[in-house]
Amino acid sequence: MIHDKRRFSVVLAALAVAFAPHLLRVPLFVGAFVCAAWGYALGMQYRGWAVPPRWLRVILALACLALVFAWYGRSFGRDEGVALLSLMLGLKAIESKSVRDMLALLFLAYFVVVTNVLYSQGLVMSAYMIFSVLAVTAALVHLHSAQARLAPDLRRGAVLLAQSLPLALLLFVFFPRLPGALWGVQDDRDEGVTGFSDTLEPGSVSSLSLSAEVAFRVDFAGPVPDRDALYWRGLVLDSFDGARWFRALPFELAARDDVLPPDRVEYALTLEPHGKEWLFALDLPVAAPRGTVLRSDRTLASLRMVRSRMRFELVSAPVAGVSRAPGPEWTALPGEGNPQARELALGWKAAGLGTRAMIDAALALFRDGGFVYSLQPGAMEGDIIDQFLFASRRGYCEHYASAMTFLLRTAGVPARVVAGYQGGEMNPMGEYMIVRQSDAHAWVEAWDGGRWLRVDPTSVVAPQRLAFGAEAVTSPQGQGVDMPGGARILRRAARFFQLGWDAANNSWNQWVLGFSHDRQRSLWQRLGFDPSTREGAGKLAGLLALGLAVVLGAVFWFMLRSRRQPPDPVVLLYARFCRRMERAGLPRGAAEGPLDYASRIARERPELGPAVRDLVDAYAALRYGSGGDMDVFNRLVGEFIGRRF
Amino acid sequence: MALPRFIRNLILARQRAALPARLTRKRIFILPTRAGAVFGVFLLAMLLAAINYTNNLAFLLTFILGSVAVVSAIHAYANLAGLEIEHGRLLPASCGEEARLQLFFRSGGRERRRVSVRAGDGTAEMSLAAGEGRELDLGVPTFRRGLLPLGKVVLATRYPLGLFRAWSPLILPVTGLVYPRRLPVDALDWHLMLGTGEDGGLGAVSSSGEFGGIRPYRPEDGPSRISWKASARGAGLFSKEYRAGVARTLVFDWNEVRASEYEERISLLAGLVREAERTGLSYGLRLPSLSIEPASGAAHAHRCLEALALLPEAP
Repeated sequence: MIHDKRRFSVVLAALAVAFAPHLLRVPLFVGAFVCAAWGYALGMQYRGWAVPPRWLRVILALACLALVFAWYGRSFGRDEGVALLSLMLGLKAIESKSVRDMLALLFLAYFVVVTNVLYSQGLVMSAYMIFSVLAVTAALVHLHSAQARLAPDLRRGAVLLAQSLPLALLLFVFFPRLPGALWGVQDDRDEGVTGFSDTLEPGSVSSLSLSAEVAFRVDFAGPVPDRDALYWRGLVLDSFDGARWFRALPFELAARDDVLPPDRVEYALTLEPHGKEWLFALDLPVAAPRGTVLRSDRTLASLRMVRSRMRFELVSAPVAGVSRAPGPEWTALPGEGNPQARELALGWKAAGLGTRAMIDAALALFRDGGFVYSLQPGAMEGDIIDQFLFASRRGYCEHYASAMTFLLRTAGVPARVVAGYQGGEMNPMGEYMIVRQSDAHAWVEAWDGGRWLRVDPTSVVAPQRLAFGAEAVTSPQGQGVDMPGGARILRRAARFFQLGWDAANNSWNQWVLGFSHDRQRSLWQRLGFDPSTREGAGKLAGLLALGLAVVLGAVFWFMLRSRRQPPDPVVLLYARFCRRMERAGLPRGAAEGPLDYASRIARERPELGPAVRDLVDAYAALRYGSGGDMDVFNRLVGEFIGRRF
Repeated sequence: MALPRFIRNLILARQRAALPARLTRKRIFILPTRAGAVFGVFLLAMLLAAINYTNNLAFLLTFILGSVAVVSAIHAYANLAGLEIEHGRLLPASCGEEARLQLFFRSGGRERRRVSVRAGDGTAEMSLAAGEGRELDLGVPTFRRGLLPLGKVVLATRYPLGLFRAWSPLILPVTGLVYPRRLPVDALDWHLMLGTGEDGGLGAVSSSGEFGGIRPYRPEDGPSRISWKASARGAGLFSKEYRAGVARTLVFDWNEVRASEYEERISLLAGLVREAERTGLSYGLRLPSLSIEPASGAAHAHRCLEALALLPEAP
């Protein structure tokens, strides 16, 4: 075949582009094998190395299979599949000789590109996948074009891809989405999260690092609530064992409220996957959207683990309704430990302070007792509440919430720790709120007057924590240190790009990745189609057919439009000569060649004979011969047209 | 395949094309190749996975790949549509040899990539730039003397992705001539003919003619007499000259040929004509239905061989 080596290297290059993201994901031996196999395949093409015999290839294949199973054990999931696919890429390359083999390799490459979605669906990765599709398509074109140059094939591949995008988008929007899976999906993605867990251990963390990772994003339907009302409720921790707060009380569903309160806030919350069932909602959620339940402690839980980005339409109201008086489990504490704290709280109780007064006393203690908000409180063991309250006096929200709850419970006031997020940042590009892991927060709820009352002890220690977020408290700026102007501009620019990037990601998530059954349905309903009725479905089918016709028609037109060359000046001049003869009464016959025409003219108008003969000879030389002089022909035609006859 | 006659006629009518022939929508067919079918199965699997995992990025990639395949079908079609065959001819050949088919293509307003042309057993491939014209030369096998209708010419392409094959079967009004099979002429045949010659058979010419030297080429010599060895020196073409002694005139007579069967007789006469032409003699032909006056040269040889080729079948 023509340019076989070159074509093979182009195919390999496309494979490399498709495989590159996997290189770091597969075990080292798989990556090394693939690279070695490709190197050998190149050697086969360029150095004439022998094709490994069949038995060797079979042994290699079996060995690879065994290694993969030995590496991963008996389970078979995403990673195992990709590792096997990678090994196939290597093995197939060293037996590829024919065009058909290369075709198979490129199909495999397409498949490899698609397997990337199992790992990442972000904007960068998606762009890279489109780029890989372009590379593989261009290699396919190169395989079929039989030309030495690559650039025209790359261009053709780009044209193919560009022309197919509108069609693909049309199909993407119209293809009916199902509400769930066709068959059981075993999902082995374990998205770990930082910044939030379902236990709270104030003493165990000596230094908390703030992660800017996004926890969730929020689209408010109406005006955005004030910042100090942005408490995103996640979990209620009801039990304390001396070291940590956790959930232990049995699960109870909240009573249904049929009437939505008038001062409600409506918003859509898109949660990043965290692999657990808990959800976050603005204090306090009123109703449970589909697929979730509302617990009696006013937290939401998803019925399925949140393993992919999920979007929820939520309603919250700022004030909790009156609820049943809590039982003794809400004042339960371990039998001993933290004697100083107990003594303090029992003193308040003995002094006859009411619940409100006790809360105020605790807040006053935090405000005036020399407490400092710090993300480096140091580790504590044993009586952690005592150590915090009477020794270190340094801590962040968890310390304050846990100490205050302990004090209230000791004094007999039902109290609990609520874990969630506080605050959030509006993204001016896109008009939505970003809540990050660094916004994680914990506060206290105390029972008073028939309702649970939210108390945030951190707010009295570090008011700016509420106003600007945790970063503001700990960053040099927040502590009043001036930054040089250049650094500030740089910082602002970085912030700008960060927000723009987040907005782009958010749109991608909302409109492409999050285009679910529900969103497709609501899109049709907004356009006035109801796909569940026969009529609506018919209209939609008609719309799709129309779209397909327009898109494909445009491609047809574009491909079939002829790129007319500028007409050949030789032909134009000859046509002028023919027109002149037509006016003279001797039109050229439809199938008459120039030489025949010239001899007919010479027969009928002998006086024109020599001039016509010269002219036609010059024409024939230019058009059919190898030589010919354009200037001479031009002059001859000019003279001929100018003469009188 | 036993298609009803009217359908077969309909298909044939579609395939018949006058020259110059332009490939249009009515003449171009398109179907997936085997690779295309495999690709389709693979897309279907991807679509199922995307549905099952409700993964929108997988949906998007599946639809992009599917659309690329569909668009590539349009590209394959456009690669043929508008291509023109300006003229074509079949050069005469002796039966059993390959006849040369020359087809002249013009690309029209667009570039053409890897269009294959199949006629008979021969295939050739071409790529044309926009506006380019090109002649393609193909061999067509011959099995019997007489007129040779070209039969079906198929233009096809798999460009750009190999997932679809667009093709266009054409029956072009091109007919060639197949000369009769040539039997080798031995000395006895030759002598018989010389014996009937008008000079009474002075045996100055051996069966192959004696080589006498070279002289500058004259067009009437015909290509078979060109001395390529001499011409290769670059000083113009030279012809081999055979010492034919005195200019001689022979007439090959149907009834005098030493052959028992009808076709054998024709083949022997064809062999004699070729041999006489090669040696530069002047020769004529006397057949039951017509006679050709003695002459020589390529055109004369063609006339004689054509007459032999077009003789009716054995009675």
